[in-house]
Amino acid sequence: MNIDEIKEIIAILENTGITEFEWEESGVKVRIKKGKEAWALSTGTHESHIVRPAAEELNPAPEGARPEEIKRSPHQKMIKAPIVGTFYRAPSPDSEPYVEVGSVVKKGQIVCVIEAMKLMNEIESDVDGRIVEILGENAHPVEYGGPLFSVEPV
Amino acid sequence: MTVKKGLHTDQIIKSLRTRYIGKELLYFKSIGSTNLEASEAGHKGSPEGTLVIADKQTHGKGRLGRSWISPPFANLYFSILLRPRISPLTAGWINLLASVSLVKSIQSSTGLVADIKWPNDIMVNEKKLGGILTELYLKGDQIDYLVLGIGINVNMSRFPALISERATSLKKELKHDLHREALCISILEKIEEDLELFYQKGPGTVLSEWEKHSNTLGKSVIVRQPGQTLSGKAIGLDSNGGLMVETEDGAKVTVMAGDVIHLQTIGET
Repeated sequence: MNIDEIKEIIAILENTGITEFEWEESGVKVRIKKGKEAWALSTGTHESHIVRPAAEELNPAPEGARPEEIKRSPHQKMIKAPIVGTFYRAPSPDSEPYVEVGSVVKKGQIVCVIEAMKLMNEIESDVDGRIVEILGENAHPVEYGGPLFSVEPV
Repeated sequence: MTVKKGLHTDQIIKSLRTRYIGKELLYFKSIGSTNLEASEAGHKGSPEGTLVIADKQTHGKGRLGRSWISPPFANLYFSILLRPRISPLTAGWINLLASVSLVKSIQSSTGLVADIKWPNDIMVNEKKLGGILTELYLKGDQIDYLVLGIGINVNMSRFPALISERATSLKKELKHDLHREALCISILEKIEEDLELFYQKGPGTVLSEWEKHSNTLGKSVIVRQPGQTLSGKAIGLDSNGGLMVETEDGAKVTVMAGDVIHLQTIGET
């Protein structure tokens, strides 16, 4: 089973009442568990986890996390990608970016666009705050749940 | 000489055999952008299937702030408000689905065979006949609504010099005027039919139909994205509808967005 097939299963499960799915093939076991807070996905002995962005609060960095994550304040919130696509900081190549580091944003304010197959998704901030970090790179792909902005609530 | 007259929306309302698309119809002789109006309707809670249709757009929207040339009384410009109960992750398929519905309904109502350039440009002989711009609006991590914006060059006979080599219309191809209302009805009915199938069966049918009607697969392509250009052969779609391109060094890259240019090879028509 490849990552695309796993993504497809996650997408299918999302529209169903199924909360847990397990699949074993050629010694690789995939378990997808749907819960209120997060989906955990583990493959075999790798112990890898993909956590859905349902819990928007950035928790204190766990042991072994990357150094840049450790530096972030526990109060900061993350705006994450709700779809897979290309991240754009401005509505058009000639326009100013929606936000810069230091910009004060209100809940519901558009902060970027993600495009997938000409489906344009304007991403709104879900918090009143100040942009402290821009984590997505303009015109580059972002993964589902990938971090776009770190916001310090005000 | 073509008589410039407005759309007869009463004909559309009377003849349309859909369950929800177009049951609520907002007609404008002239409007900024049908997508913008449909988006506002969605925000205000208008029902699924609400159709915003106009005879002229003053600020027709294209991808990434580009404009869609929208002269009066000649073409079709409309946006459909949808509230699909699917994951935002699979919403991109609606875009590909709409292109398939358009090609099929254009063929059944006019006889003209059009094809699709990834992801959803409607083309005839490598000239653009129609375009689709979809905008997705989320509430939390669920879809609140989606606006499917469609523009088709129907009876347009003169094109601005900038696009005359790259655009066409049904009239230009078929050498006669077309009944815009009939074409609109055919498209709306086909989109609803294809959407229902997609909601029930998933993206499998969309994928196979798209592959059947696409003119991108198998071609050498250049993909232009801001700040980078990629070239290779278009080999298929991935599970999200992204275009898989095999580059000259054998790497397989999936493209989710960008301008695709088809390269003509020697002997190809």
